[in-house]
Amino acid sequence: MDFNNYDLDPAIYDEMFLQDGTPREHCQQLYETLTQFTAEELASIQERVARSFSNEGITFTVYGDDEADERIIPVDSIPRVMSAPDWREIEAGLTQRLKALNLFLEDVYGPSRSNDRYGVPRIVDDGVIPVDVVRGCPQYRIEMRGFSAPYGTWVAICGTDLVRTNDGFKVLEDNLRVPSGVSYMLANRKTAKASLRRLYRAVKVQEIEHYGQVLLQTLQELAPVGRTDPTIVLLTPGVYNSAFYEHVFLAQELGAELVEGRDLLVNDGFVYMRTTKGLRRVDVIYRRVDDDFVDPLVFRPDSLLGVPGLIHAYKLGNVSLVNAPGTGVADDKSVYAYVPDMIRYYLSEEPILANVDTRLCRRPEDLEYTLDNLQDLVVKRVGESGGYGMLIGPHSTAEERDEYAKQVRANPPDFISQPVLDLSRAPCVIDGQFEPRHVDLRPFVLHGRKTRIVPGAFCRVALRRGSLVVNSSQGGGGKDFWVLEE
Amino acid sequence: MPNSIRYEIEHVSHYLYSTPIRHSVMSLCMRPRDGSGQRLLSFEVGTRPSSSLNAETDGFGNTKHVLNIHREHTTLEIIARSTVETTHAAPLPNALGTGAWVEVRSRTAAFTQWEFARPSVFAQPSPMLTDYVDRQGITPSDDPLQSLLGLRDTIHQSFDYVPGSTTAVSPIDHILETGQGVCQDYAHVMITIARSWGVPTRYVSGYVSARKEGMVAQQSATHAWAECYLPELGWTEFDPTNPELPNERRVRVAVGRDYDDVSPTRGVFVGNSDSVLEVSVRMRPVEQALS
Amino acid sequence: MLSRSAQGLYWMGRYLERAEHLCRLLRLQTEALVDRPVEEIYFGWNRIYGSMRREPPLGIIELDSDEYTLADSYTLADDLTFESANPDSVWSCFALGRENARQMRNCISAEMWTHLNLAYLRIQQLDIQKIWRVSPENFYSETAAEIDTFAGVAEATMYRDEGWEFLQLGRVIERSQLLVALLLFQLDVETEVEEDSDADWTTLLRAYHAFEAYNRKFSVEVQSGQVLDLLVSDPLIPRSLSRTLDMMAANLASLGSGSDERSGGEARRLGGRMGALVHYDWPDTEDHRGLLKRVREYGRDLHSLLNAAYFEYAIEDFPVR
Repeated sequence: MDFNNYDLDPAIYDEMFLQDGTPREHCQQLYETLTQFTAEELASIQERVARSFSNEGITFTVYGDDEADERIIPVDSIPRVMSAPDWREIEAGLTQRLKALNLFLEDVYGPSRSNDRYGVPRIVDDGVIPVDVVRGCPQYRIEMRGFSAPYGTWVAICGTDLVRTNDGFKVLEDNLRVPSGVSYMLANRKTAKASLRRLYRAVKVQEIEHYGQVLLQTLQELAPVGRTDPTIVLLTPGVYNSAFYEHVFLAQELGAELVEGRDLLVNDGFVYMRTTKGLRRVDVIYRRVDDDFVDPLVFRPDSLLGVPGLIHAYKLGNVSLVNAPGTGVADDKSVYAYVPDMIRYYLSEEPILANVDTRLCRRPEDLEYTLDNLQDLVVKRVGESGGYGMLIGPHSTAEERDEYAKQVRANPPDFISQPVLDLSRAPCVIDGQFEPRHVDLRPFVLHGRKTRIVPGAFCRVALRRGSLVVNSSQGGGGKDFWVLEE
Repeated sequence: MPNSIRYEIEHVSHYLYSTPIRHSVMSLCMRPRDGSGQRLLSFEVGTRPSSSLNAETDGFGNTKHVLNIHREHTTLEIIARSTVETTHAAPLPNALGTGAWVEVRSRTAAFTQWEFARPSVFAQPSPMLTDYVDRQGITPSDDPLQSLLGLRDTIHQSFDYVPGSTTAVSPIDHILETGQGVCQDYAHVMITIARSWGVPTRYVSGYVSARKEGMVAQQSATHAWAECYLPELGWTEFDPTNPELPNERRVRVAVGRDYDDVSPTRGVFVGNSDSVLEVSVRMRPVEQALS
Repeated sequence: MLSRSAQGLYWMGRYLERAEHLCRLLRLQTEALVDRPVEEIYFGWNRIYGSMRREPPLGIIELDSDEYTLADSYTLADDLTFESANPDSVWSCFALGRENARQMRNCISAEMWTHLNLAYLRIQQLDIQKIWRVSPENFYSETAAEIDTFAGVAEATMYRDEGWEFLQLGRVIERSQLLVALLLFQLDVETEVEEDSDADWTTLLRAYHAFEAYNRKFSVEVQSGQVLDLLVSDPLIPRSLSRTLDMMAANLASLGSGSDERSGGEARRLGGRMGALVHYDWPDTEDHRGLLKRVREYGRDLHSLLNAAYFEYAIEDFPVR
């Protein structure tokens, strides 16, 4: 198979080719391997990769109007390859970013410097971030005020969305609550290894299979003081959660019990799980249940997914919750705009990874700019994720823009706008041909008492031609991502 | 008039379940606050059947206790006893003076008063509230303090205090529609309107010693009122149920955005059962040391 | 292990056993449609529904009715195979078994999950029309074989922890209950009509892979008393009651005491008593129905004791921290 019809656009960074159509140096071997495949071979590889997910039941759930659908995420068989120096930059940038975000959360919730438990955060007091950006965020959890997270680690597991343009890498979003997708990172690697065995061996890819070990280490580091052999569990909302497969997978990787709220109970400030041999104390909970549902005593009283008294046990220091409740205030789309300032403020460093230029409609001048340039911008709702509630200006009709503008005007603080990014593209097998498709990258950053990043990521692909939306709920797929050795 | 009073308070909550339940986990908000014009001299809380009780501090600085019972039970009794000394506060000035509104309203953007300046679960503006405000001709004057005192008195006069007319989870529309309510509803109306004026206002739960004639309180002596944040004065209390009652006859237990943050008991039980809650509160002044 | 996981594995065992049992009966029933007399076909349907204690969707089938049409069998087979509103249909049991497996996936081997999931995906694409057009017998024997293979895959790959014991326990408890229900139905019919030829014992022998063994041991002529005896007490028939109860006792013994030692101990003793009924009392008793009924009741009690000992026990004490 050749790349003769492969479309290169000078405005868009191609992960595999230089502008003149020659493969980038680190992609040379991949290029040669791909061109040596016959159409039949390629089709059979693609088919095997697609089938392996279905056979293993690697599914996610999409909720329609009245029924839930177990779906398979579409997978492309060609890995996206990255050079070691590029990865080093990402690694340093992510480490720096998470450090600042944890300091921010400790500042926002923790006891303040004036020794008043309920004081004003330094960063707000010093005028770096406006009050309303923090307090106006629906994810701010007043229930956590006055609390200091163990080791200052509010976010132990973070999945940051990165994109690449001709101007380099940019952070699109920090996912600091219950980021998902790491099981796809590992599943994609497994299938890619099986289908491209010789190539994998030849190009020397950095391993990622130890992710479970690193996660375990991270969780162990956060165990309550004195618990040398901590019992770790993964708390899932249950089988109806869209990421349930991942919960099962991670529990297995960790060698931890996969528990639901009803398996746990709190007594005298400690957490126990119900086993066939009686109750057993739990030390660390990797929870995949959202803040609102985690404890009906403190958050939503109608939640059946949580554990009554869990926050109490957490505040007493008898159990660790990962991630801490309340971290959503740091991955809010408005707060996002201030992360570079946070890095400068807390670390006195320049950000290594850039943000996407973001305008907050809460500021009158940004609102005006946004409304004047709707057809060129991506406008997002602050509270939404997963690609919902978005307007992609260039792909919208005049009526859609008018309708959207009304919503923005009605409630400006709920919206932000960003330029339409030319996300980089990578070759995919589409109808038996190589075609470029837009991609992004979600690496996973772990931080217990120190930061660890496995050299891999869930690479998402917008499989529809021309589409920029990579979310799996919106027709996106995935592919493996290889970081080459130094 | 003595300038301080010492009270002994006993607050008993009795839950009766129609069928045995297996688990109870509850958060109790019953420990009076220490400071701001009152001293907490002693506090103890216990349950029958017995349970461990651990204290924690919530996001508003209130002390809460968490109880848990994981064996079958058909009743649950929670007994909280406290001794509190209250002190008579200095009288309020007549007015705050010119420019006070600007200063009051500037606090709505303060980090620590943010939540008290905006609607909350039980303090939601509604068309019925607008209607009430119009009907009563409630409008703020040039002086915030005078306005709030006026608001307090209007609320006091426009509703009938009828125990049992509303429930713990009634929205303000209930009292607005029927004209009847209890201290909690009075407080929620006051809070909602004061916030709409741009005054940071919070809900206070507590007890009241209302033996003096003509004073009303919920029969059990639990009580609720509002506090507004004013320049120079700080958090200042406004009791629309008993405007005339001197401050030292109120004991503050907890503060929050509204009742939802400070309900005395909030809990979860596991079992297929109906529950009935009976509450009794006794509050009596005791001999105090000479000061 | 987690109580909920243990319970899930236990139910997974029960559901899959139930699906398999029904498939074996339905295979023989659809075979009978080809060449057996109408009365026998009626009887077969009644036996399946009767032993499940369910009403057929068409109402009770009259033995003497001659309005029999193939369409009735089609409707009944659909109800027992693909009807999702019928909790005992093959599809429902399979889907529930697979759903339990999905939830307890971290407690079973990857091979078990993959096998079950593939079988599920296969059945999901079928309906009664599709299997009826080709050969319903094939579908049922293949599905039964899928579950047998699953048992084999489990045998070969599953870690022998408590989870294994609970899975097996679910299978053998369900198996013993299903066999007892079937035998009681046969005996009830026999008392009513007093003619054992109507009761079609041959099909039972086939359903329990015991036909050849019977011929070898007795004769080609099938007699009800001998069939009954063989299915209850022959330790060499793979699914005989005595063998099933022995396996159950072994599972209970290796489980050890749960959280509630008293209930755990009682469960083991009850398992022993069930075995003793079949091993020691069966050969001497005249009252076969009474004995089988006792086995049925003990089985139900055992189920409650497992709940009390391992799954939903009351909390007495908290462990030392």
